[in-house]
Amino acid sequence: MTSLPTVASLRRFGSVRTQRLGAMGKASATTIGVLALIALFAPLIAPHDPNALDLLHTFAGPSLAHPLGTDDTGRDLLSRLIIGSRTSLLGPLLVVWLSVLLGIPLAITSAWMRGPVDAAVSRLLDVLFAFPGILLAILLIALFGAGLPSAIVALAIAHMPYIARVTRAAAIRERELTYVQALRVQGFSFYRICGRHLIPNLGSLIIAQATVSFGYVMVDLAAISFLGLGVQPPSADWGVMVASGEPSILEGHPQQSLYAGIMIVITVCAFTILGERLADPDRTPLAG
Amino acid sequence: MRIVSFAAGRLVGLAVTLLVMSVIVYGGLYLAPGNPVAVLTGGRPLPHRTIVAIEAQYGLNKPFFFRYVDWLGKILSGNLGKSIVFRENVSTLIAARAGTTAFLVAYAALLIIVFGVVLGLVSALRKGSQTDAVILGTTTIGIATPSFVAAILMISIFTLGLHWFPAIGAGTGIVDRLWHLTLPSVALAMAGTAYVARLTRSAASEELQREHVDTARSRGIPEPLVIRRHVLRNALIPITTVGGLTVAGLIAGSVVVENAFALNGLGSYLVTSVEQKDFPVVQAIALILVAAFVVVNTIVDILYALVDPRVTIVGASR
Repeated sequence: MTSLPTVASLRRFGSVRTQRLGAMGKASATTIGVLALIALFAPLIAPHDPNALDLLHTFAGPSLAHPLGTDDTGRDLLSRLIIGSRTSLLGPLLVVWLSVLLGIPLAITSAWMRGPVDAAVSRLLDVLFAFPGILLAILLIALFGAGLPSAIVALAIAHMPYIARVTRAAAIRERELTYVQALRVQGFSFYRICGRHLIPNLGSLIIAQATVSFGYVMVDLAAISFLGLGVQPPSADWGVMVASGEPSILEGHPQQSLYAGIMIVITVCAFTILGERLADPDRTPLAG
Repeated sequence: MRIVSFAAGRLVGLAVTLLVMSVIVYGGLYLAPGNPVAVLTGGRPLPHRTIVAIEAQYGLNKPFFFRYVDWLGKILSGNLGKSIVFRENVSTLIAARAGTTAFLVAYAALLIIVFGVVLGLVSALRKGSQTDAVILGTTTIGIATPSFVAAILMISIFTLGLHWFPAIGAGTGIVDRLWHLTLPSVALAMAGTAYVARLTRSAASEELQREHVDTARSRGIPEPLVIRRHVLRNALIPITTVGGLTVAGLIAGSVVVENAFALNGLGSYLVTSVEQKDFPVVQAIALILVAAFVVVNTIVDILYALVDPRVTIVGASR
């Protein structure tokens, strides 16, 4: 009896969605996959040590040894981009994972209990919405010192309401559906109904929202590193690279900032397009 | 009348939110490792009488609640404390820099509203055309372009390549300011413009398919009037809310852009103060920026109710 809704939810969650991604969605998913592989195997792929200085070959143009040239201290730009993909992708991943971990239980409990609990949670979310993520991050960094951990925690708190709001709205709708009513009548517990049925049924929605959030978080996190408050130089990170390349722009060497910036734009594009396609495959304008 | 009670409700919500914000900003001082004096002074060795003065300013010898109320009272009467680095009143230091930030945000907001709505409308009216495809492509990239990446692109192209705009400084006088702040505003506005354009496109094209538009056309109402009265007016409902949020977001975004263009505004001062561990300044600027953000959001909410009277009904039942 209880297996019936699960099967139905599996079908909704699985193949149907992936088939409707369209060309743009598939291209985005592929891009994300390639970037993830690069980040995973970065030390094996990078042709040079990303921190090795070569003061005789600063601002070198593209060559066989340095396909993208070198920066103001002769470090290989390609290697720095490849190694930099690790913190640049892992940071947003941690933020999104944390905000899902915080947001889902809050949203589901609130949607399930309704009444004063729900009102209190909604009010809390409203207040959190009023605190721009980047400001919360700067405040936390002022207290706990510069670095990725403060930034990650702050952004997770700031992005949690987005995940929670979408989930709560959907959970309220889902709760009224007959299968949930049937499960309740059969006496299944809150944890079992939500853990086994409700959350899996909302899975695709949560994944879509998390994917879109990933893009926005990446922009915020890169901005914090750009401000010098996140990942610290000389570590290779895309946000850091945009910042440390800025003085060289005025000397006519925009490469470092430019390449790192392009990597950020490509990645964010891929995540937002994929997120939109996952959320609403029929209405996204860029149908392939 | 309903709009008045709706607005009143929103204003109460605004006050509550601001109060919570101030507790977060103030209470943060006690979450940090070390004692509050060390956080406030950034761990600098200071003469005893300075420490006593700081303790008195922050009332550190009283219970938390009283300290907070004291602090809030001082803030509300305009006393934001003293900067630890400059030994000057925070309010003086901030006032000198607030103008640049306000100008930058207002300029960017204007760009977003004008270009976002126009691009979106053009795109919706020529759906499926080449123009539409170009706008869709650019806006997709625009949404994904962080302001600091847009900043370095614009400095490379317009300052170093074409020498059209200065790279740094905020300028003096209105015209000079406009000229100096054009690139920063465009960088700040880019993602928001793209977003509002996308939103306008989907809202307007939805309206274009509605029956009331067909009816208006069949009655021989001139097309420009149909667009303005029937399409744009209805499409404005989602645009106001999301567009308003985007504009409010510019206040936080200005922090990044000011740093990219080395502008002497609140945002760049905030980052400098974090680096210098000048905590009273960090508190004050964070509070001001958050307050501005919340106030703009409330204004948008009330505007939204004016554009769409149905909102107040939902608002009343909440």
